[in-house]
Amino acid sequence: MHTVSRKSERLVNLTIALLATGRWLTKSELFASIDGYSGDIQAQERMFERDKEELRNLGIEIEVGTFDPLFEDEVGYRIRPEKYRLNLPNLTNIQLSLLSSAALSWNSAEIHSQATSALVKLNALGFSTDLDELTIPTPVIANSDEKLQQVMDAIAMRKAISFSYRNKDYSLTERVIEPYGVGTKGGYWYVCGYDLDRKAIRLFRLNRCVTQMKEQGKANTYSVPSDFSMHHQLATRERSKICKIALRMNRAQALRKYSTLVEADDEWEYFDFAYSDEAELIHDILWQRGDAKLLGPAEVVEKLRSSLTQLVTIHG
Amino acid sequence: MAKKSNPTDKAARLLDLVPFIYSHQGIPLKELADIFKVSESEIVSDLNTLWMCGESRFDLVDLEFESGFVTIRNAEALNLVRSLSTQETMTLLFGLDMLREDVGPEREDLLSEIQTLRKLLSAQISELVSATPAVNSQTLTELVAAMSKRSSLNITYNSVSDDTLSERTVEPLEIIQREGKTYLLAFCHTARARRTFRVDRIIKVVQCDPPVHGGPVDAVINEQFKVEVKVHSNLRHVYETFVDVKAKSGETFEISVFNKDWLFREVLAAAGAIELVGPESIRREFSALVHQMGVTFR
Repeated sequence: MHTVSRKSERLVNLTIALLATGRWLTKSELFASIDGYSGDIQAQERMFERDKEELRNLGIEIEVGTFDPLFEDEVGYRIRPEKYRLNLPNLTNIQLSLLSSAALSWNSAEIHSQATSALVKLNALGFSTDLDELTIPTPVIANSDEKLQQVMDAIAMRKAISFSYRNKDYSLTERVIEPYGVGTKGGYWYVCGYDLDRKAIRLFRLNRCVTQMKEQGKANTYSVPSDFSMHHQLATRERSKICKIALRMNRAQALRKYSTLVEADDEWEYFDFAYSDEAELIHDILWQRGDAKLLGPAEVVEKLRSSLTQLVTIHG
Repeated sequence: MAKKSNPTDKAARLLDLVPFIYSHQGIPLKELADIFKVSESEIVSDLNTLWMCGESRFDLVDLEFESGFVTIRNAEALNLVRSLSTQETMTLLFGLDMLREDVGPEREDLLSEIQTLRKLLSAQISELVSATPAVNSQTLTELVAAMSKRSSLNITYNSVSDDTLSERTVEPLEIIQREGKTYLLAFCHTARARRTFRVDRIIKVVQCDPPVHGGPVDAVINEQFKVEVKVHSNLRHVYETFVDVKAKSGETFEISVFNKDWLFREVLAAAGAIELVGPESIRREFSALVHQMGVTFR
């Protein structure tokens, strides 16, 4: 038989044996009853260790226990059905529709397969899903970057990863992080984690990671702090400061979103403008090439003037 | 679809097939293959493998599928829907997050359902993921619908190159994903030419009444031209903003641009980090602009 099938068969039989048992099963019992554990005892043990690891990667928890607490050398294994089984209460139709819509929003092949398997599981519980219940369109999550899958796997296993990162000055550095969370905003994907060299939590944009994510060391070597929130990590900085700006009539649409109109004349409209960061404010005003003016506070106006002076100086 | 399974993927699928077939006895093979997103021959191979499994060599899973319809017996131990993996939970949570943003505050009922589901799936994992849609799903859905009907739409567009609003009648032709942004390629009846629009800058979409159909599909695309710049800091930004960035010598780079106005705005906003070097005519024009702005801001 095909080797792929053979190994799958062994994994399934191992799962059945460990699920169906009412007691701990020893390795020798497992090797005797399941086909495919061949070779000498060391080879069988190595196969068994790999199989156990792969089932764990599938989220199947294999418990290890001893028959006799005084003699720990004879360990046994089992899978508790209550831990193996999906535990969801009865969901309402609208909840199922929301979950289906959530799963269907993935259109990248790699992640799509996980969304599909999640849907199949819900479906196997006997729920049928009806998207017509929802009056909102299914969102589209576009991602074709395989690094996203690698990051999700690493987070699931609590395994450190390393990658080469493109810095602001375009140089590359090797980073090693314990990944905590992953998210998307403004079309970009980010991974957040504890940077082992810089000894701090850092955010990285996935399309600035120029290599694949390489797994480092063993699984479950760290835990995510209980107060960690990816949503918080990706939150926009609050626009807590106010300045005075003037915008030419009907121009500079992007800035109007954060502006409150104070007064207007024939050519200009005057606003209170909420911003978070001076450098960003200067960037935004300059970008409007004369359709936006900064009127105060004086020290920021001064910085803007010196940026302009620099532009004049370098361009002669 | 139908890429070769590795043994672990296959084993995972076998484990999921059992409870699925139990709750869908007599399901046609083809339907089963569609649902599991694999080819029919792969599903047959799965079932053949599953047939060899059981609690012991003498107590195998009883499967019937020769008729093209699949039934299962004697696999009670495996008739359990597996719990969701962390990754599966994450994909669902991402989708729910996107839905939450799309639903909008007026649908409190749906928002509270989404919140409940996040907790049911895993309150713990839900802190590890966050998704905010880059484009409005409603807008995207209307664009795709118009594309399939080959019909036109009236859109209000906030230009990326000069930040002004315009009303246009467009026939959507293609949705393009590039560098994290979603673009619409359309025939613009207003400009009588093909244009590319950033979907997140489309403020409003209205169906044309009466409908406008078709349009000539070949038209001039903006000429691209090359510019030489010196980059004094934040070189990554230059690579991420411009196309065809080529290193010349030291701090000097060649870039390609479509629109001079937009180029000037980007160089201005860089506040001295980018210096326009050539061609001389463009550098002089830009120099005049900054001089004049210096006067305005005095």
